[in-house]
Formats: sequence, structure tokens, C-alpha cells
Amino acid sequence: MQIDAFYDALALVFTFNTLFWLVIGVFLGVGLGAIPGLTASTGIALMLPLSFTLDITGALGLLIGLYKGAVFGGSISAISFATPGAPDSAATVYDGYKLTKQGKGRKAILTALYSSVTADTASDIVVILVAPSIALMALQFGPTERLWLMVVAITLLGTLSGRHLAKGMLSAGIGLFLGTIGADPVSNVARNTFGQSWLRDGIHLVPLVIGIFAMSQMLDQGLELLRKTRGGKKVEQSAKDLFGAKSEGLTFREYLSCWREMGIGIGVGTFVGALPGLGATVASFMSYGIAKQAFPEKKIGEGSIHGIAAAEAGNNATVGPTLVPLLAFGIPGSATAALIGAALILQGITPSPRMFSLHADVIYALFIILILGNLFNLGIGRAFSFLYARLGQVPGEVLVPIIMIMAVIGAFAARGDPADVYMMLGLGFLGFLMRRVGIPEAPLVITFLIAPLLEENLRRALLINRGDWGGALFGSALGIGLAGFAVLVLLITFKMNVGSKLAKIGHADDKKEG
Amino acid sequence: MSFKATTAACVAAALALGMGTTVAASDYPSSTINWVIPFGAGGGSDRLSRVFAAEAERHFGGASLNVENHPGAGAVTGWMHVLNQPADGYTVFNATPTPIITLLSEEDAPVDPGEIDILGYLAAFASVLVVREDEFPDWDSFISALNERAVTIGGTNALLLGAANAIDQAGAEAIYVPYGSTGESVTDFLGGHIDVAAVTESTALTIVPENGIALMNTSSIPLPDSVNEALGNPPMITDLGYSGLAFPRWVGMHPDTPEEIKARFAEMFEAAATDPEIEAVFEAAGEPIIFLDREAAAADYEAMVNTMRNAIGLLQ
Repeated sequence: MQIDAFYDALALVFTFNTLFWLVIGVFLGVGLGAIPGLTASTGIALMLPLSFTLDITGALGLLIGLYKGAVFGGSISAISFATPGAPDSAATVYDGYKLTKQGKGRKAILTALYSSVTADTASDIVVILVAPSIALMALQFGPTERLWLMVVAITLLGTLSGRHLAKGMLSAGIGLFLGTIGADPVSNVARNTFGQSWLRDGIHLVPLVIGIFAMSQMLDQGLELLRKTRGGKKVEQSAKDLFGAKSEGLTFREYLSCWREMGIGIGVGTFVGALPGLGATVASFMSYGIAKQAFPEKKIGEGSIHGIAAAEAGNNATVGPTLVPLLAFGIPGSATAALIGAALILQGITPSPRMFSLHADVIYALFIILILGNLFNLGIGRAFSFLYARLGQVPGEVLVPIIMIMAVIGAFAARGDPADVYMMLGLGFLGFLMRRVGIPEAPLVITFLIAPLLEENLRRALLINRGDWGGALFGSALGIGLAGFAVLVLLITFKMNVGSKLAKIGHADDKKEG
Repeated sequence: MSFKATTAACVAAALALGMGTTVAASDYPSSTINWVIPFGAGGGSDRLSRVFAAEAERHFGGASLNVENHPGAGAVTGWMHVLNQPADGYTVFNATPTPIITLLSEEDAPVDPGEIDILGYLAAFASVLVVREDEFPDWDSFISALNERAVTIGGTNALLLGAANAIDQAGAEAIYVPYGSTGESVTDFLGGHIDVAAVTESTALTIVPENGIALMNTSSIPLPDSVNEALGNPPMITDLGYSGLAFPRWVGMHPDTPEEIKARFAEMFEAAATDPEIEAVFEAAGEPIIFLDREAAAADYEAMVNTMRNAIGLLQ
């Protein structure tokens, strides 16, 4: 470590100006992240012109604070309204919204906050200590290795298919088809667009996630509300609860009980974050899938804080590592990293391997801001959690239309494309039908997310290996190792399912005999 | 109404319409100009358009430039939006080669790439081929290797077109591996999974000299001197007598816009793009202005579309 540069960095960061913009960044980030459709990268893009006018540490404080705040903020609306603020909070909906419906919204949001901050801090420390090593490891992952990583992800996430394999497969099939709509990743020719030019860009993840998770639930709940004739007295009572009642918080013991899930999130998020092109959504789902697979006794997916901890630790743990390729090689590994890179360029610092020697003070300042940002996220996130947790207690008659309007705004806000609103409404109706006949939504979202990544990498691997499938699939030791791991996960899943079914039969027999 | 009165009314209306055009041209611009980009908020085009809009207003007679995002359909939605607006000079289209590639890839394209009047280039990026020096020390050894073995070149679709155009003219073939983002292709290059990375000059600056050399600039437009020097003065494909392919941030208008308005806009656009203060802002943003006036840009655009039409087949 260059001690002088570190002292210079401390002097740069601990100024009123830098700390002020860091606080503003986190505040805006949490607020923006909680609005469906406004992702971290949109927020950073909107703030970029303002960052031009700031000095380097002020600009980094604003942008990194906003990034951290937004990744956590997405969980607030996922938990409160079943509407993920950004796709990377989609996995949080499963348990978060169930807890909100049980009147435990505050507990859920605090779990999301503490696991986000814990994972973010841990992954930042890993980045600071071993950024170059992580970057070198990430370089070993070419198309072959990435495609097997996607296969591993699918096998890990198989547990989200629900109890009926056929229904899970049907849902995955729909997701697979939706994921193939748009320009072919290799030839750039439109496919499965039914001649509709507006489908050429494919279906965007934001309207899909909002439609399938939020709008479908609201249609379901809206129908339920129409069926019930509610008296004015009850609504009055619920509105009173909103301002008077105290909802359940999170105890330290409960927080500690999530250490395994947070550990999974930190491991998965740190690694996935450092790989270009995958991102926080994949990390969040993978972490959630592993936790659900590994700890069936924790009833993840049924309104468990452990599910929230896994998903939120997974997505926030990608924040620091996303910057690893940028810092080590000057390559932006994600849209957000590219925007932070743009801010550095505007300040006269070109991201490249030379940054560590030419601008060591700025790199250390960035590291300090990464850690400080987590502290501010904790304080500001807590304030937001009190506010939003109360929104969860709003009576359904008020809440359902509000969420529907938010869903429409969110679908439009992501890209400003009206077609996304129609798409979200259509997918909302599809999700509603799926819920009615008991088809799980998770496999649809997961295959939609992962299958295109798998296809792109498979086709790249085939191109690189001149069409030789053997070389494309098993051309490296790492690829073979990952393939073996995928098979192992499949075998374990199969064995566990058989084991649990036999155990259930055993219990039933015991009861009969008893 | 009598026949006479009807005729008089028609003549008056026709005169008013005719005068309206003349008045509009001489007064242009008298209200906000909508600056349409076919991409969503937050991307490179959006960022640079907003910087330009904020800085350039003083050159447009005080009329403000309002950046409008019309993403979708491979960046063609924005183009169709421009064609559906009145051809009065108050809707400007600022795009990259992306919609052109989309239109050339479609069998039944809704718009022809010629359905726009080019009024200038604001910037142009190049496709620079970056290689490992020990593998391909120079262009000749690279072409020899292409003729002897399968060499893989990775990059985004647009940048691969620049590479394919250059390599095809040299009489060689390569395996083109398309990527969704530069980050992924550069990672695969650094990891040794592909042989060559086709990147923009700004990305090349992050790779050269530590992890590779700039083998060839395949663009038709030279790089700024400072960039060229930092990249080790790579040769240009045009030095070999081949045609190059630049990737411009072009600015155009509805083809039916009156000529006076187009000329007036081109004049104001040139004043803004060559303003040293605005140039300095773009330089600081990492994408220096590479301005081409209306005539030069229109000629380069036509050549680019023709070259792309041929090169696109090489990638499929």
C-alpha cells in the first residue's frame, strides 16, 4: 500500500463536500431505487451532468452512494408492494411481500437493509484486498465457462419450480420462448417477433418482472376485493392502523440467524459481480436458489426472512466487485460501472491498469467511499424503512390501484417506451392466469433471464471452436469442472427430493400406526 | 359562398401557406427544437446529446434544444418518429450506425437508410483492431495468419463491421464473434479466449500498451492526434488504398424539410460543433468532437451505408 496516497485519500474524502454528496447520493439512490422502473444505472445517468460540476471525490460520493442506495432501495417496493424497484430485487418479492401481508413489512425491510449492508461491506473489503486476483480469476471465464456457470445456475434454481414438475417446466418453457423474442444475438436478425418491429429489441426485463410479479398479484387481489363487500368501518380502522400501529421490527438474534444466507450472498455476489455481463439479478436469484436448496427447513419462499437475506445479500454484494474489471483493466463490467468510468474520465482520469500507479489517491478515496457509503446506506435506509413499512398497512382498496398505477409508471420509466407498458399489462394478465391455475412464476422469470445468456455464450463458444461441440463444451479444465458441478447439484437435488418424499411417507405411516 | 369568394379564399390560403414557409425559414428557429435520439436515457448517445443540448443553445438563436428519447425496434422507432413529425426543422434526429445496421439486417425494413437528410457529424468513433504483439506484430503478419488458420475477432456488431470491411478488402477471412457489450469482448480478449478485439479508440486506450497493441484503425476518418499517439500511431486502412468505415454520431432531418431551413440549421450546427468551449467539454467527456460539415458528412454517410450493406453479409 502507498501510505502517502492513502493519507491523501483520507484528506480528500473526509471533507464536508464529499460527505455531503455521499449522503445526497445514498438518499436519492434509496428513493429512486424504491420507484419501480428506475434502476441504479438510470439514476446514475440522470445525476451524471451534476457530477461534472463536482470535484472527483464529490462526484464519486454522489454516484457510488446513489448506486448503493438504489440497489437496496429496489427491495423496499418489492417487499411493500410486490413490485421490485429493479429486476435485481425480483427474488425478494417471494418472501418479502408474504411478510408484508402478515403485517411484518418492517421486519422484512430491515432484514433486506441489514443483509444488503453486511454483504456490501464484506464484498467491498474483498475487493479492496484482492481486486487484481478476482479480476484475473474472472478472465479465466470465457464463453465455455460462462455457459456452464449458467447451467449451474439453472440446476441450482430448479428448486423454485414448485411442487409440480410439469407446471414448473411449462412456466420455464414460456420464459424460454419470451427470452428468444427479438434480434438474434449472433446474426442480429429479428426472430419470433410476429412481424412486429417494436418487438425487435426483445422483451425488456423491467416490464416483465413488474407484470409477472406486481400486476398479476394486483389483478388477483383486486378481484378478491371486488368479491368481498367491505364495510366503511373496516377501512377506517385500517387507515387508523397506518398512522398508529407499530409493526414488528427485527431482533439482533434474527439478524444473526441469517448469517449462512448472507454468507452465500456474499460469495455468489462477489464472484458474479466481477464477471462482465451477468449482474446483480443473476447473483440475487442464484444466491436465493442456493439458500433455498441448502436450508429447506427455513421454509424459504413461504415468507421467511432468510430468503430476503439471501436475495438481498446476493444483489448488494455485486456493487463493489462490479468495479473490479474497471479498476484492474479499465473495462466496465456493467452499465453502472461504465457510467462511473465516464465520471472518472470527465475528471481527467482514464480507467486503465495504470490508474493504480498514476492516481493511487483517487483509487484509495474510491475504496473509502465504498465503505462509508454502506454506513450512510444503513442510516438512510432505516429512515425509509419506517416510512414504507407503514405503506404496507394501507387498506387493499387504496393500495391495489396505487400499485397498479406505479406498475404502469415503472414499466414506462425504465426506457420511455410505451410498448413496454402494453407488454407489462399483457404479462400481468399472463401471470394472473398462471397464478389461477397454480403455475409458478419463478421458472418463467429465471429462464427468461438466464436462457439468453446461455444461448449467447454457447453460440460464441461454438463460433470460437469452429462449430466443434466437444471443444465448445469441454474445451477447458474449468469448463469440465463446472459441468461436473452442475451434474453433482442435479444428483443432490434429486436425492434430497426423493429423501424428503420418503420421509413424508414415513411420517404419514407413523401417524397411521400411532 | 360564391365561386369568386371561394377562389379568393383558396388563393389567400395558398399565399398564406407559401408565406408561412418563407417566414418560418427566415425566422428559424423561433421555438424549441426537439433533438430526437433513438436510445433510452443513460446511454452514451443520451449523455452526449444532453451535454450538446445544454452547451449549444447560444448558437441556435436562443432556441432551446429539447432531448427526446425514442428507443425501440433496434433504434428504428426514433427514426420513424422523426419521419412522422412535420418537416419544419423543429425535429432533428441524432443517431449512430445502430439503426442503419438494424434496417440493413431486416428483410422488410420499415424505413430506408436514405430516408434522412444528413446535416453534419458531431463525432465519429473508429473500429480499432487490438491484438497481442507476440501473435501479430503487424498487419502483414496478421493477414498471413488469417490465410493460414482461423482467427477469432470479437466485438459489438458495429465494430465487427469495420473489421470485416477491412479484412475482406485484404482478401482474407476471419471468424467474427459478436458480443453484446465491449466489456465482455475485451474480457475475453484479455483472457485469451479470442485472438483480436475490435474496439473503439477510447476502449483501445485502456488496453494499449499493457495488454496489447493497436494493429489497425479501420475507420475512414483519422483519430485525433493525441489519441493516435497514445495508441502508438496505428496505420489507417485507407493508407493501404482500401475504403474505411467510420461510425458517426450523425445529425439529420426529415427529407421534406425546406432547403432554407436545412441550410440554416447546418450553419448553426457547425457554429456550435466548432465552438472551442463546446469542443473542450466534449474532450473532457472522453469523446472529442470530430465535426464533418453537411457536404462531407452526407458523402461519408452514403459511402458508409453502401459499405455496410456489403459488410453485413460477412457477419451472417
